Amino acid sequence: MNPGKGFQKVLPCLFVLIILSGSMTCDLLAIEPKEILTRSLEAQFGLDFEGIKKTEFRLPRRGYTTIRVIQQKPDFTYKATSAPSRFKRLVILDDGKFYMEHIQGSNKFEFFPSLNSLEAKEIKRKSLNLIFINYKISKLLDGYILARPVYVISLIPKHPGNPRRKVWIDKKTYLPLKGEDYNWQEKLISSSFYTEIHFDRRFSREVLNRDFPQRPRKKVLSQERFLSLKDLRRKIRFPVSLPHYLPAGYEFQEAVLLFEGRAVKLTYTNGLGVICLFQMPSNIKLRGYLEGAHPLVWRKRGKTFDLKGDVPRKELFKIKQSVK
Amino acid sequence: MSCKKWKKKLSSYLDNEVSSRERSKIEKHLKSCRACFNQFEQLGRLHRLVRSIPSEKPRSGFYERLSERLSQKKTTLREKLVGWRYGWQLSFPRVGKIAIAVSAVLLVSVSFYIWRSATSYEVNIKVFEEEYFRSQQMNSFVGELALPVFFEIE
Repeated sequence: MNPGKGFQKVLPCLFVLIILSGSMTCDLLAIEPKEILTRSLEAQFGLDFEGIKKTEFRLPRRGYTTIRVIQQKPDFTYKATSAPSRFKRLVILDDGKFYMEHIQGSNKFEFFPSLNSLEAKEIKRKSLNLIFINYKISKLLDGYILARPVYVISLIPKHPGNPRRKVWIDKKTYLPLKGEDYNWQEKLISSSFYTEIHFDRRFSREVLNRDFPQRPRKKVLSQERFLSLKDLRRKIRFPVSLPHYLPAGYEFQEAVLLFEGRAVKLTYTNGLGVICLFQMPSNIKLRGYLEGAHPLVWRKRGKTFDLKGDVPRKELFKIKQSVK
Repeated sequence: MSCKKWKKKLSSYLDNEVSSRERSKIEKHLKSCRACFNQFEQLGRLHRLVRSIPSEKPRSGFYERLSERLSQKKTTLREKLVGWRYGWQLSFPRVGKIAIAVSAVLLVSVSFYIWRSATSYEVNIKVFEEEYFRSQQMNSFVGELALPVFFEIE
């Protein structure tokens, strides 16, 4: 018996075995899309970077903005618009306590609850969990953004009539570098992407604070956020009406007190899509409202309601009917 | 002194309620003034007539019963109002009354202003649209929309 002949017979089988085991190891090492999204959410608060981000709007109006973004971990964000030139003056600063908006050279200076606070992060985590429940998450072919390798993740709604999103996530840092939002009719609403990004850049907060007035007026919050329905009932001056019907997958997210408690915003989400129900006593005038021109703005039992959401109109009318 | 003032004192003179000095002055004037003397005569007659009316004594225990009934009687609203008015007139000087009236007017005006400002609060419908987009920022993968700018894009 020739031992060389036996080896020749085994060789192709060995080759196939090596290829198979190699691909299996790659599959085992490959990171799950859910894990990518989880890491990506944490990365949004856990990185130091400076970037230029462009956002293009398609619907309801066409336009674009270019924003300089500076993120300092764990909870500091600075944003300043640089284009179009007529909007250069807007500066947003979030120091983990307050989300502040200021238009330079004007009196507009507003304080909101921080979007980098622990409560806000918790709400974002909950909304990610809802994405896991209500969306089919798939990893598409990898690509490159700004010469950096990226994961391309697609979020397709399990229930029809909901918005979808495609997101490009940096493989090294897990920061989302690009995102595309589509409405329930599959039309592209907006896309935002970094045109420039530099990681590990640290800035002194004092330098960034210079864009804000040195002696800001008393810190009066323009709204109160992250309230549960129980908290809301304790704080509000009028009885709150709730929708008894919600599209599949939607859950209560938060209640927000607007105009020092004169109005309420109830927010519901399925992770990506948002439905907002606004309500306030009818004695508060609603400027810009034309009777009959806004079918989802209505008056009932001494209150004015406004319903907004990126779901089919039929669904919005069902929600409207169920508000009691 | 004019006759009008002398005439006012005639009744007190008849009731012996004037001083001796004033008494002599009145008598002196009555001798010199015919009109006052005539009035004095009339008043004197009336005085004598009233005194001549026999007075009846009440039954025994009348005053005790009367005081008991008065203490039991409920005060009517009209009586209360009269009482307050009387008390108000007595207890405050004129300046104090003016100060209270001005304060009351101010209080009513300020209350009306507050009520007006509370009821005439105005909200622009665009704010709700802005707030809707603000809520989208609470999603996991949005954050750099700079929403106020969005609304200024035409």
